[in-house]
Amino acid sequence: MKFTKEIKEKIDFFFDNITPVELYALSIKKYGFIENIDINIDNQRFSTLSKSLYNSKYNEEIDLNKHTTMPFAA
Amino acid sequence: MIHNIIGFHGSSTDSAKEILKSNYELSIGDNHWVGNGVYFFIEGISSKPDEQSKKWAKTQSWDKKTKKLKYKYYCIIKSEISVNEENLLDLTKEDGVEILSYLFRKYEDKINKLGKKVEYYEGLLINLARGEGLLDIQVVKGNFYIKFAEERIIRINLRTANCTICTVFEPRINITNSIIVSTGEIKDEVY
Repeated sequence: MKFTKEIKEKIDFFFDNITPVELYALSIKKYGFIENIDINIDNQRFSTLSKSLYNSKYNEEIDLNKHTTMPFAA
Repeated sequence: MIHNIIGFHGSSTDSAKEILKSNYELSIGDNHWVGNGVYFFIEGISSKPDEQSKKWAKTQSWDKKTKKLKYKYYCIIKSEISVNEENLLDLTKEDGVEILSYLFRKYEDKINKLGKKVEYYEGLLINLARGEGLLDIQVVKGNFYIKFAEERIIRINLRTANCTICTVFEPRINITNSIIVSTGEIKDEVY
């Protein structure tokens, strides 16, 4: 089999007349292609970082004997 | 132009009887090497495809799960394969490789538009090209690195091809004659 103009045109015609969604479905369902679901995290970085800290000195307790510390209730 | 290829197919003796009865129709399998079909060792990189088919039959006899032989007797079938030039995808030649590469690039361009990735195998692409009528392929041949028992036991992993194989998609069209050329017992010491 030679790589002729006719063969090239046949391949082109097929791929020009099928949508990516159709090709994907055909590949997986009919021909057993397997989706590669590896997540590529190379070269990814965060430019900003948000952090939340817990500090025990802010750990306020409710003193039931003091009215001022009682939360308001509707 | 017609290509006449001599192929050797190794299997168990029981399977060989069925193969001869059905002219390989019951032996068509799916494979990622070069697509669905019946596989043969042929002359190319190696001048001893008959020996390779025997090694393959022995390798395939071993059941990794049960650690036992699946069959004790192997059988080598020699078949005559006849195919027209325009129906043979020869991956040992530049034209064949260019066709497959072009097919791959077109496929990848389309799938990439979806943002998805799929695992590529020559065999799956060839199956798609045949099944959707892009290429009128009846036989594919190519050079591959195949691990036989020895390579598996001592874990040899090379990339250099050691076999030339071909697959026949429709045996009733392309296989004109088949005979059993050797049989034998699989010795346990092979493993």
